Amino acid sequence: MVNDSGQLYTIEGISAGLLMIVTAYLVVSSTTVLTPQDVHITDVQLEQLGNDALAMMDTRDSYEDERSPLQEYILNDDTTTFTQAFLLYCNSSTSVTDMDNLRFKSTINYYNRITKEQANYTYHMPAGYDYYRENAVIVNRWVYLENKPPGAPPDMDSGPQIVLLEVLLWRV
Amino acid sequence: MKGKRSWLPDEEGQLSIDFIIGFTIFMISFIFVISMASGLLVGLQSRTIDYDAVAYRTSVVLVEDPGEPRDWHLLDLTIPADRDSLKRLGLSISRLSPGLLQQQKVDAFFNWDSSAGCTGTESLCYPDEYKEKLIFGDYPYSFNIALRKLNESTPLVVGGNYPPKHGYSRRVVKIKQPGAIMTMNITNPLYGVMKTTNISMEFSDLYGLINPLYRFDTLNERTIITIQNVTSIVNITSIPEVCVYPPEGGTPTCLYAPGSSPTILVKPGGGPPCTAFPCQIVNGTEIYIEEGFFSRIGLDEFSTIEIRIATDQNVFDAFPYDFNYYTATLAAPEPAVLEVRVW
Repeated sequence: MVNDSGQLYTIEGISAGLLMIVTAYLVVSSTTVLTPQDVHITDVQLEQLGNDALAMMDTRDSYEDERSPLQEYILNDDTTTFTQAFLLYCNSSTSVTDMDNLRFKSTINYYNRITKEQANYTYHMPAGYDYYRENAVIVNRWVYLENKPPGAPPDMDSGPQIVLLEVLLWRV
Repeated sequence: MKGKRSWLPDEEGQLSIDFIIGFTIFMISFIFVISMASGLLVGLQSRTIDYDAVAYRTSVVLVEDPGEPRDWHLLDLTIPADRDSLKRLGLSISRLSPGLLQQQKVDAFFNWDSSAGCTGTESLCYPDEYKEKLIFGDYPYSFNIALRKLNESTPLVVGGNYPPKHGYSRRVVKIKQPGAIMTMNITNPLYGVMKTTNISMEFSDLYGLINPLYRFDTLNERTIITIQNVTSIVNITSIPEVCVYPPEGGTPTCLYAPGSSPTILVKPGGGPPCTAFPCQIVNGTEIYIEEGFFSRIGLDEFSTIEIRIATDQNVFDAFPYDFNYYTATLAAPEPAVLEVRVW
């Protein structure tokens, strides 16, 4: 039968339950706060690596060179050498046998002379494109081109221009 | 009266004011303690993140900073005052050149000694100096820093074996190769007219190149003049002379290169240097100006000098040679990967 003789026990029970819930909430929230920061650090590392690779590819070997390797690759549509060089820079470690496993997709953003707006075309797409991951980063670099690459879309300006090379980079 | 009807209102189910106050104080204290406890947990669990951050910071100092002083690789670490003046270990060629390292700094950085008497050597003391001048922070971090040129298989390493869990940062860099090289073709004594020649160097022209990656940094890097086209027996009769022109022009002041390093060496065929003169030269003989020599004799970025080479044969034309960006070359920078591990 229901009566009021156990009220204090009931209140005690409810209080204890609340305490447990609050404690569990605080502990769980303290651990979940850490996870995004950890991921963020990883993102920074990947982004830094991609930026480093692009910067080094955009560094001429000699001051007498007319173009950097990166400019040459884009100007000549040489995606094969570009891919090899970029992956070599990104995947190499100080141990010859211990290579990282990064993949990337790159696009080139340019000024469309017909629509007067930004447009882009894919510069490199990996075979078996498998990007479904959250922890991908985008790195980019402005690249000066003296003229239009032969394989670029017809609406790209044919004269000197600056394009934005965008690389989506992720770890497999 | 006991046994009264339970549905009637009465005061038995109410809490006493003492209990409510006590319970409130307890709850506030408890929440406060729990809040503090979660803070402690954050501190404990953020250790990995901290390691990553320290590894990243260390890589940034190494790759994007030239160090303090910026030409620290020229310091004579056997002298205590020089060692003390080294404040920070950066490898970059300049503050505005992130990712572009200087080969001599790389060599000096990976020249370490863990023995007690390391302060009397040319080596950096491991691990103390690396912790004080690179890792920083009060926490006694351990570290492992490795660098490998992509065309080589063996890395340069400083630091011990690292545990499976550690902070990590990897950077891609290019290393400027020091030593502009000029090839000087001499002539057959039958056709030459001079036994002595001058190699002219205008430092203001050399330092006029803005990008430090391609600059002939003769004050801080070695400089090599290679003699080619040796077709007969030719001897260099004395140690090379350096003639320094005063800023306002006029007659230069000449001095012989000193006997101690840094100095100018004559290396027949690129081998061991001549210790006595006359010294016979062959194809590929190097006039090897050691790094720091020009600074040693007080030159700066605006100096004008001539290096005078005397032989016993008429192997030179009447015109002096010029050392500049048209006659000399610098090897291409070499790509490398740098890994920093901290735990």
